[in-house]
Amino acid sequence: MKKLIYVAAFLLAVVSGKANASTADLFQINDDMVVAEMSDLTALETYVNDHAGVTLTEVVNNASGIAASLNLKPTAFEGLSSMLRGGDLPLGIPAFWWGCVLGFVGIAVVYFTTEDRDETKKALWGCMIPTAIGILYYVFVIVIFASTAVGTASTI
Amino acid sequence: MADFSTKQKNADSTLQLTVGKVYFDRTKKKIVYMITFPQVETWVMQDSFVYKVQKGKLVSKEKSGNIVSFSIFNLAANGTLSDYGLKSGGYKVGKVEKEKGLTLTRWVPHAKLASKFGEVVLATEQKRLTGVVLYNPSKELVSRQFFRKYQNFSGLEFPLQVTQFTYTKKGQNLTVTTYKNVVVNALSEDAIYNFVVPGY
Repeated sequence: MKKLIYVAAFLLAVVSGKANASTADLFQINDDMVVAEMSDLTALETYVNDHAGVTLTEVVNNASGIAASLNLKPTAFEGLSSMLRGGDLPLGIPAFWWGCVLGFVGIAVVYFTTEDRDETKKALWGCMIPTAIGILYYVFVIVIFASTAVGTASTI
Repeated sequence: MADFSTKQKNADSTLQLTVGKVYFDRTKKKIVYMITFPQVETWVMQDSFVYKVQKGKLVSKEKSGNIVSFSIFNLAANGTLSDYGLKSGGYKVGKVEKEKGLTLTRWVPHAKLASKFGEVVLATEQKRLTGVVLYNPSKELVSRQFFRKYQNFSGLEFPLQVTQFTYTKKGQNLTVTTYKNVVVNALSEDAIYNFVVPGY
């Protein structure tokens, strides 16, 4: 049993040593990989630079050989746009409305898809506001009912 | 001002190419992107907002936070690119070490920011910023950025290529931004530097 524990500890040390690569390794870049990953876009970029003012619609319509096989998005700077929006929200619906319409289920959807504390808070507010309105409504109805009951009783 | 192109390969295997010119005004803290591809549009970043203008009409306005202050243009213009603007951005220096020819500086967010922002590690070589590694508050790797092909433009050091790996739950996004024809203190194109967002 002891031997087994030693072997397990050794293997764990080896694995964690590999996984725990030095910080400097994070600053190494594989240029060949980057060039290969970007090769299709580089070809498109060259075409766009050679045809000043050309738009994606025109490329798709007139130079389908270049763009046809590419899974191109028609929008600029998706990364930045997404970052500005605070991340991708489920179905693009604001977190508040997920909480407002679906309550705790909506909060869970936002939490598990975005894993963003702020967005989850918005969903929570979305859930709390209609709940509070509902409670106020019931309190209002009960108060009206009670006052009516008291009023009725007072006429006996 | 400069010509720029941004190539992006997303985790879902979609691709994006954005081409145009970018104009930065340090005094007004304003960035104007005159985009020609994939479609003609203008993005203006100013006063914590990004305004998108198409065919002379404002089509969207989104909050952007402090994006202009932390843009590569502002950091380079202010000579603070080497510390990525962290010194004045609520971070303090942690551990400093030398490894594989790089000076690695770990920056730690002040307590107030620690719930929202994680540590940042900067790599510098000959006092030039060459890499940035970002972590989230849970110490998970969020992004790796590489600043390369520095050139000096009238005393301003500017990297002509920025490569970024962003790690999300969906996978890895790879973005390569290149700059060309950089002009510092451009005397022409005032109309673009002074671009007015419709309705503002």
